[in-house]
Amino acid sequence: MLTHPTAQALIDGVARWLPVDGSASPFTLRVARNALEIAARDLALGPGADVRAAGRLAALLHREGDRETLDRALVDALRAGRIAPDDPALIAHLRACALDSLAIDQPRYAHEL
Amino acid sequence: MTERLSRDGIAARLAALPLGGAIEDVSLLTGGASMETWAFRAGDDALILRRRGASADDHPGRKPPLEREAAVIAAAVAGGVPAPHVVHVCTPAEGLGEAYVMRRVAGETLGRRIAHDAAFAPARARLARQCGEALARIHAVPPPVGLETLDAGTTLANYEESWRASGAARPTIDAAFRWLERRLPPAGGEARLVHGDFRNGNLMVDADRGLAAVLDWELAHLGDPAEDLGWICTNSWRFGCPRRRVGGFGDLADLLAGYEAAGGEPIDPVRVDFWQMMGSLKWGVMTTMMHARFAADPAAGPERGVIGRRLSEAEADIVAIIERSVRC
Repeated sequence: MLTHPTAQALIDGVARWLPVDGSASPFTLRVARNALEIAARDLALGPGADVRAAGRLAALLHREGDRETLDRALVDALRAGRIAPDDPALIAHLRACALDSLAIDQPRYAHEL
Repeated sequence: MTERLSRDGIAARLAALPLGGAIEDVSLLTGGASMETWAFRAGDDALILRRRGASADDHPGRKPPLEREAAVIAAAVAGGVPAPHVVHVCTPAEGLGEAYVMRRVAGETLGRRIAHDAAFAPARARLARQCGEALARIHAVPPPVGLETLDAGTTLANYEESWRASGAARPTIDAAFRWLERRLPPAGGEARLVHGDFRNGNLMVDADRGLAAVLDWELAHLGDPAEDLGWICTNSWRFGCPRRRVGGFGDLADLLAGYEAAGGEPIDPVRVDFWQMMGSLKWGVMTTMMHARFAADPAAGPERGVIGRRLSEAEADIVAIIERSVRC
């Protein structure tokens, strides 16, 4: 499943790309630094965000599980129409997820939440 | 197949075109993956060469011929839309591949500068209304033959197919699909010429006078005119100014007022919301495609992986639109 690049994939990608002959441009080096910063924030904040998301998902879906399993179950429920896209409990959950994800991925993104 | 050409190679081929005057000051402005833009002078005329990039294969999907893009621009100019005049459409024998030459319009295209710089405050005061006027004129242009029709239902189905093929489990994205599905406009509405990429970043803006030209017509098609109004309102194109809904520089009320003043049929803000959601969804699906390419070739560099992490931006924007729609 390719949901988004994991912290490990980002770090691994930087390590496999990083040229040691000084040929990298300042732009690509900035991108690499950004990738490592995302990975570091993910390692620090990701586990807590996953636990919080799993707790909300358990309440929403009336079942227990880890985040990945419950995310998949919520996607199935949305596709089957068992949970409506404007369900207030769903919206509250998605809002909290979006804020947690942005704090890891793009903390400076200017949004409307 | 497009040949990769050096600056001198471009200059030599330009010299053989019927442009009048010696070719000078050839320089590459943007070498986008799918499109090259060259600036040059022919005698006293400041001109631009748009040319299919050598790495056009880098972008998935069929690209419409540049010749048709030139025909759309010419039709738009004839309809009173501020857009660069096309002066020459290249033939294969001229050796530049798919390409055309247009007049160079002075101004700024950098979205961040247009949204933030103090020098652009006079432009920002009028730009949303001018965009509305330009869009009304675009949507009234008799479309050139050969343009593909892309209505809301088809667009949504295409994105959902890409999304499901990725296998990703992100509930916010699936909620967006269901939200849009419930709000699909009835099929069979009159299809109009739609610019297809009308956003801050594709507008040439004069700091004092505002809109100078609408650029980048590559994605023009027939469809729902509200699509263009929604796309320029998508938060990804507000460059850090989320409170100014139109491109980070203006208000929706001004966009709609300009649209109606120039003869456009009134557009319900709910339809703008629909296409703004589609815009955020499009960005979200694109980030996933970038991630897939990063995963396939991680040693190529982390840039596409970092873009893959921008899915969160689309999600935040999607949730904001759903919340607003529930409050209304």
